[in-house]
Amino acid sequence: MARIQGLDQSAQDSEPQAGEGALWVAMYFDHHCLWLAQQELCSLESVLDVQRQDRVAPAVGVINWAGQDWPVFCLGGADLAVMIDLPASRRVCLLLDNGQQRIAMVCDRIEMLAQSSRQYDPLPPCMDRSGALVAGLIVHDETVNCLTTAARLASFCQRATLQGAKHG
Amino acid sequence: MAEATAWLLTLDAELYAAVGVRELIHLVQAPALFTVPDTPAYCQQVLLWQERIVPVMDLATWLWGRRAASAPSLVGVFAYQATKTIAYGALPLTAAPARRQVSDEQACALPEHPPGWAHVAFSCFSDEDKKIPILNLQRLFSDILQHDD
Repeated sequence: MARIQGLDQSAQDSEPQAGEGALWVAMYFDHHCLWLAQQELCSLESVLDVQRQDRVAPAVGVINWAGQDWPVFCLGGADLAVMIDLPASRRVCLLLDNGQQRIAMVCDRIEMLAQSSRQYDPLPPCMDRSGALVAGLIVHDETVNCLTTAARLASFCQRATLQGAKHG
Repeated sequence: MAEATAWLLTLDAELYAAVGVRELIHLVQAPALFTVPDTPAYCQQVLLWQERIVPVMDLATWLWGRRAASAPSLVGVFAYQATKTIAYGALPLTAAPARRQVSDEQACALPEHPPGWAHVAFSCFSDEDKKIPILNLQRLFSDILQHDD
């Protein structure tokens, strides 16, 4: 089973910090986009550096960085699920570290964003559930964007790992 | 005999509901909706309305337990009293709402099918041959449906 370090922590441990001076990175997966605080971004690597032979599903591989193997996950598809295949469109591997969790995500492209003053809205209560992938919503350029965190991504991938183990 | 005015809402070919006349505040045709991943099947989209992010609750999906059409052509925006403030929520509609004058004499039991109306309705009235549940919007847009999912 792919192991994500620090998953004993709650997905809500480090929520996004919006407001004056908040910096974001937009991660694109197929037709989806998730925003993440830049402070959780540890390194950007090429997807070519992902070692696929050592993968343990649902991770698509591992990447070695700073002397450690980081499990690499891929999100995609219509419902933005954890994928076990690595589509050719994935080019960038983001290494995320919030001090408690370390996880690597592959995506098609990224965009660095500065969001100056707008506060994000938490998910409406009817949409929110414990450990949800999305922590909040933020309006930018007349669109609603979904905010996530390294902790929530780790929790989401761990859920897929456990479901995979349950289904053999 | 007390009378009140309501909006009759068409949720799908078989489902109808009503809200108070002041609760429906806007209709949006061909709305631009934004999908939020990893959310309940009945509430996966939001609407950007007057600079507010408004959840779109597909009540028919929740009641029937089946997947809804992904792109409603019409949504109603509703206002309701939340704990300390006015909150907003949206419902997909399949027809324009119709105004109804409702009296106490029309009170009836909630429909038995589909089950679930009791979780989201205050009460019910009859309108011609149909039973029309009156929606409790505060409850509908709370997290209560997730526990009944």
